[in-house]
Amino acid sequence: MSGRLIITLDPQSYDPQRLDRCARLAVALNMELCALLIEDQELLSLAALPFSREIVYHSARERDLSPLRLQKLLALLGEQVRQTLHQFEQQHPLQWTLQVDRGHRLESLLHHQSEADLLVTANQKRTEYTRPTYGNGHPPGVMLLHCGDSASETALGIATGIVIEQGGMLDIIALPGSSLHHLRNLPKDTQALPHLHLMTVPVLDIALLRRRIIRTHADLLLIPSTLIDPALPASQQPLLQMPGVQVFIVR
Amino acid sequence: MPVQPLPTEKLYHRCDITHLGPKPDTQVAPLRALGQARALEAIQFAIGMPHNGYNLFVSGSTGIGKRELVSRIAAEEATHRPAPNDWCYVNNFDQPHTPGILELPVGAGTTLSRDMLQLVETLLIRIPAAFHSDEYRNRVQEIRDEFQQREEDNFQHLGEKAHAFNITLMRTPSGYTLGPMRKGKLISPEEFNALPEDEQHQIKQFIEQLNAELSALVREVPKLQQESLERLKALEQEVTHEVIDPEIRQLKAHYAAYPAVEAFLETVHQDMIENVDDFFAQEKSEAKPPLHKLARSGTFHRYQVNVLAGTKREQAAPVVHEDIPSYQNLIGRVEYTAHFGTLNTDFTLIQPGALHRANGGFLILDARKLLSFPFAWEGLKRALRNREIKIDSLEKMYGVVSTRSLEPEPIPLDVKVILIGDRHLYYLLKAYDPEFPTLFKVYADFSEQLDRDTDTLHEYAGLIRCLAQEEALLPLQPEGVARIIEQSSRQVDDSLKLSLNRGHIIDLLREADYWARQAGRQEINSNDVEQAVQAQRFRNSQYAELMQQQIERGTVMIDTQGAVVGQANALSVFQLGDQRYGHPSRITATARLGNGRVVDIEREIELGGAIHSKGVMILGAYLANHYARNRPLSLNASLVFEQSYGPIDGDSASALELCTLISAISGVPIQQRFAATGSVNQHGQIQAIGGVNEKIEGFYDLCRRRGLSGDQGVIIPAANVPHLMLNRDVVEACDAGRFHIYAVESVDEMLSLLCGKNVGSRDGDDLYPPNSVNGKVQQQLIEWCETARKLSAGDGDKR
Repeated sequence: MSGRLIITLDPQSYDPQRLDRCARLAVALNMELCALLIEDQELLSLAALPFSREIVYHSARERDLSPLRLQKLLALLGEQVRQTLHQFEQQHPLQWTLQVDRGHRLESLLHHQSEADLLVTANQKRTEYTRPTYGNGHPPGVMLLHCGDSASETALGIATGIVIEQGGMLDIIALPGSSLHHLRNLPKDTQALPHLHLMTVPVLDIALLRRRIIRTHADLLLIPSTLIDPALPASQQPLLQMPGVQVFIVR
Repeated sequence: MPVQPLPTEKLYHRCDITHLGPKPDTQVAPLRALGQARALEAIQFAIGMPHNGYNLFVSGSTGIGKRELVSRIAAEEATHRPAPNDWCYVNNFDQPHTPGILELPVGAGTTLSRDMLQLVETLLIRIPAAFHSDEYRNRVQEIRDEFQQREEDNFQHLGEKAHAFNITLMRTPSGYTLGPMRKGKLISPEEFNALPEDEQHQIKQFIEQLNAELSALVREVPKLQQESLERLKALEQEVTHEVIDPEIRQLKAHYAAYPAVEAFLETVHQDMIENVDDFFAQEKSEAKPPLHKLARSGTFHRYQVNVLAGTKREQAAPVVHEDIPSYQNLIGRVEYTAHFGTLNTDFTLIQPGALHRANGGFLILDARKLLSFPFAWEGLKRALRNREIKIDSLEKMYGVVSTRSLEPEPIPLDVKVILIGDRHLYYLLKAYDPEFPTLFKVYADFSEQLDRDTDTLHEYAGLIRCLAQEEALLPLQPEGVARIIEQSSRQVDDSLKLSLNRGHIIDLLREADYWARQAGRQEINSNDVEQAVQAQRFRNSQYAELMQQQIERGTVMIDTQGAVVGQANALSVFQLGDQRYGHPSRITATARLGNGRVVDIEREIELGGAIHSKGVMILGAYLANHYARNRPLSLNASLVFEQSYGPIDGDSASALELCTLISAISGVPIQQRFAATGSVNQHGQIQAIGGVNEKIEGFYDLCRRRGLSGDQGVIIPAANVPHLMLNRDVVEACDAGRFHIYAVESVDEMLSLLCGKNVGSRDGDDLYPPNSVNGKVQQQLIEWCETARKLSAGDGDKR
């Protein structure tokens, strides 16, 4: 094994297709896959209060927030993940582990960043507004933030591999420090992609980047780990809080 | 003075080659309507007559060239008329089962059809492109962001409000929840229980109140989604209009002169806006068909233009010949496609009929075929009467199917119909179809014959040469032309007429050409024509020869020598295909005392036709008038055609029947070396008959087979002399005095020849000389009358 891919999972945002994609990526990159289930400790604590109520999003129904149900949900998710990976293991040479972590989702993610060569976040789903009737022919794209370091180069290789496999557009944003000022600077296999877009950003403005990323059709974002400052609290990491976008943090 | 045999020149009207006109390079136009001035005028009148109902019925025998002449005149007239407008069927978007029509100048229908296909192809590219464009995506994203932001703002606002009460808003796996905080951190259950009751109560109240607001907020989310959906739809409409409108505008500008097309394009526009989803057909399809195929696929049929007539860019009015004038081929039809056992149709499957193709021009039809197809005649009349083409299915006409089908809008009709048929059909239609005279007011009756005089010979010879040229045959020597002219006269049984049947002339020319080539000649001469005539006759004469053989063997009894009382040789004609043959028949008569009745045995056994019976009844009248004016005709007589086993009709033997009867009454024998033909009237005049040449040739053949005695011959009516165009061998025999043709004008002349005696003339007392034939008849009738009177008186005494 040449590294470790950690994918964070929680009951709020679990998507089996994304787990499958990560498992394939781990096989392709010859990495060990670690599925990290995060049990939100704060939510469990809140649920223990006798008057805690939950407003169900899809029905606006109000019901008791039961710690037992939250734990059951987590256990159910754990079993589901285990089965999925077990089945995948039957067909592919994947080495995997399942780990349950208690704490806050983002804090846990940051905590495990140093253990992972590739860290995949589990961001919450977005409310589906204005799905266009027409023009949905293209598959979702992949976006890469490139800042010229070795993690960025690794991320570029991973992003190219994902696009070759699933199709769609690769959108590269060359941040200050990146040498990718022109398409010809890209590796040959990346240049050969049918849908490729390269944009240079002269000033690093993470908040602006976040808005731009959300507005694209990309549902997968690869960023070098250097763009995540471990010193900052999780609430101040905008790249980790993008609804609807799965973030790959590459070391 | 005894009747003399006809001289040779009366037996065959030779053609003088000095009358044949110029050499081939200066001939008359080959297609000139020689001898058809009346028909030509009728055709030109009908074709030039613009009013309704002046359609044309053309009649004439097969091969006379009527179809060719009519087609040529119609084609010439068509070149002077403008090409008719294009008629197109298009979809009726409100009522697809009643397709609409568009009338466009010639060629414009095809152009519109192409333009519509091009429009669909263009939109198949442009509409998906517009919806895949960055601009559209950005606008969709803007809407999405806006509503996402509104949702986030709502929850953020609630979160801030809750925060003011030391309460935090959190997400759960299934939704949202609210929890109390102290110093920025959630309170654990233990900490909460440690709080004073009032505070606990207050927290609960806040949370309860905020839960209500949270519920309201969550309930707002579907409304936001609905609102965003409406915004998206509006955006889609806007983008669709941005793509489609300019294309439609451009087409409308192109067809601005045609309001109907503009209206059609407007309905197309509306339909495209409402069904823009169809234009993503290529990306939805796994097969990714090419755009030009997609544009022609069933999905886009409704935008197509079905050009019924005018697919070719014609410069003149159409002249259409419909060889199979069935109802559907005339009126058009709606076709169906089978799809998994279901029959489907739409306006693109409307197929034009001959009336559509001929609209604005001429439609030429065979009347007999037209009448033989069910509903075809009725359909044509309805179209002409209503001056419109309305496509109704045959099933509907029969009234047996009640399923709904297309009911295309009728197309205005302006066509000149030319029916080609025979005279019999024309007069039948005129007699039995009250609509026929109002719809076909003009009749062009082609002449079958042409006067044979110096002027016409010149033209006729030119026609023969041109036909030979057209058929790429060997050139004709003048003698060859002359022989064809002579044969033409023979075909019409008249030495003073010429046949206008071009089919027969061409056949004879081809066959003469064959024999000339067989003989290695470079030109057709008279012998080649003669050989063609004889070979044709030989090929078809097997049955005639069999009949002759039966006479030779005595199976059929015909005497050609000697003299017999009450027996004579009559002549009849039978037709096999194109060939006619004459053959002799024996007539016998018996006479006895009676009450004035002449029995026609053929009539008694119902083998004699009405005309034959009429002839026999005339005999009785003649006998009474000539021999028994002042006393009753105390006679019973019988007449019969011996060894005749089939129907007999016609009066061409009535003169000979009279002679035979007179022979039977008088006891004067008839010489069997003669055969005779001719009808007789009550005054004893001999009248013309048909088939005179064949009759003479039939008796000649029999005599020739038995050996010509030199005194044999045929007696014919003098009125038939101009009709004589006898075969070469008969003429040669007559010329050599081995056979004779006699022409007579009265019964007495015929009788004197047949009996070889003076027939006698009536004196002032109405009496004939006792030794004459007539005298013997008169004497016998007086005797029978006296006997009858005595017998009658004796009967009276007894009573």
